Amino acid sequence: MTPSARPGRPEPWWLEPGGEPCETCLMVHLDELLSHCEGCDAAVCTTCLIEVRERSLRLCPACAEAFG
Amino acid sequence: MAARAIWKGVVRIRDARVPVKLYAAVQDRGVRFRLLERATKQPVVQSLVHPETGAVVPFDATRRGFVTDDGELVLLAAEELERLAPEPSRDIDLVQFVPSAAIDHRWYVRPYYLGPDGQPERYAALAAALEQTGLEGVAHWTMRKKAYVGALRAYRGYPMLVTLRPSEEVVSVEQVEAPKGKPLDDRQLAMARQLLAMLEAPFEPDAYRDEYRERVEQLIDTKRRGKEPARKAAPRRKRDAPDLERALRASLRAGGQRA
Repeated sequence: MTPSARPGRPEPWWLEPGGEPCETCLMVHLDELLSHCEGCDAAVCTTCLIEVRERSLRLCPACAEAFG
Repeated sequence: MAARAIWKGVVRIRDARVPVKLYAAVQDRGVRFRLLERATKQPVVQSLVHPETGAVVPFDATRRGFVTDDGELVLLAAEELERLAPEPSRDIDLVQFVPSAAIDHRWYVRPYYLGPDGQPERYAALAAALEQTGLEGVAHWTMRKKAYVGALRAYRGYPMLVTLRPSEEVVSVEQVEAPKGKPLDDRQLAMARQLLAMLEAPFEPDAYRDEYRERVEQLIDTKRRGKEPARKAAPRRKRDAPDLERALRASLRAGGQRA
C-alpha cells in the first residue's frame, strides 16, 4: 500500500496505473498526470519533470541537460 | 513567440523526400503551482521512496520489473530493453493514403504541424497535394527512441502529422451494451432532431476555454496586488433532469418564444 492510501480504502485514482509511459523513467501513469516537455514534446511524469524557472520552461531531463 | 521545432525529419513517399520540422500543435496550459511545505513555505520535491522504510531511492538505483498475472516478477535490465528499441531514423515513411474520413476520432492522439526545413518547392508541393486531394497518409517514424504511426493530412495549407493509437488500444463499440427499451417513437425523434437543429452553429473555439484556470489566475493576480479575493457562493446543485420528452418540449417552447 502506498503512503497516500488509507487502510480499507481503494488507492487514490492518481496512484492507479495508467496507460501512458513517462518517456524518461518508463513508469506508466494516467494521461492526466503527465506533462509534455517543452523542448521535445516527450511525455514526462511529475517526478522526472524539470522546471527551469529562469526560462519559464518545463523540460524532460534530457532537454534540461541540453539547454544547460 | 515563434513556435520552436521539437524534431526534424524527412517525409518519404517512395523516392520523394521532403525535409520537415515538427512543431507541437497543442500545449499544456495548466497553472504551475509550486508545492510548499506548509510551515516553512519551502518548495518540496518528489522522490522515489521505498514503500516500507520510506528511504529515498535514487533513480540510478532502480531497475524495471514486470509482474505477471500469476504474480511472478520478471526482472528486466536496461540494456535488454534498449536492444528492443527501434533503430534511430529521421525518416517519416508514408506507406499508404486513405480517404480523409477513413480514420475516425478514436485513433488520433497528438498533432504536430510540419514546417519546411529547406527544399521549399517540395514542401509546397506536398502541402498542396494533401490539400487538393483531401487524402490522408499513414506514416511510420521513430522519434525519441519510440516508433510512431501517424496520419499525415492538410490543415489550412500546412501538412499536419497526428500520432495514432496502436490498434490494440482502440476499444470496439460492440463492447458497449446496446441501447434497450421501447422502439424509437417518430415524434420523439423529430423533437430530438429539432432540438439539435436549434443549437446548430459554427464551431467557435474561443468559446471553449479552461474557465477554472482563468479563475485561478485571476485569484493569483488579485492576491498578488494585495487585495482580498471575492467570495463567491458555491453554485447550487441542479435539480434532477426531467424525462427527455418533457425536456425537449420545454426547450422547444422556450426556443419558439425567443424566436
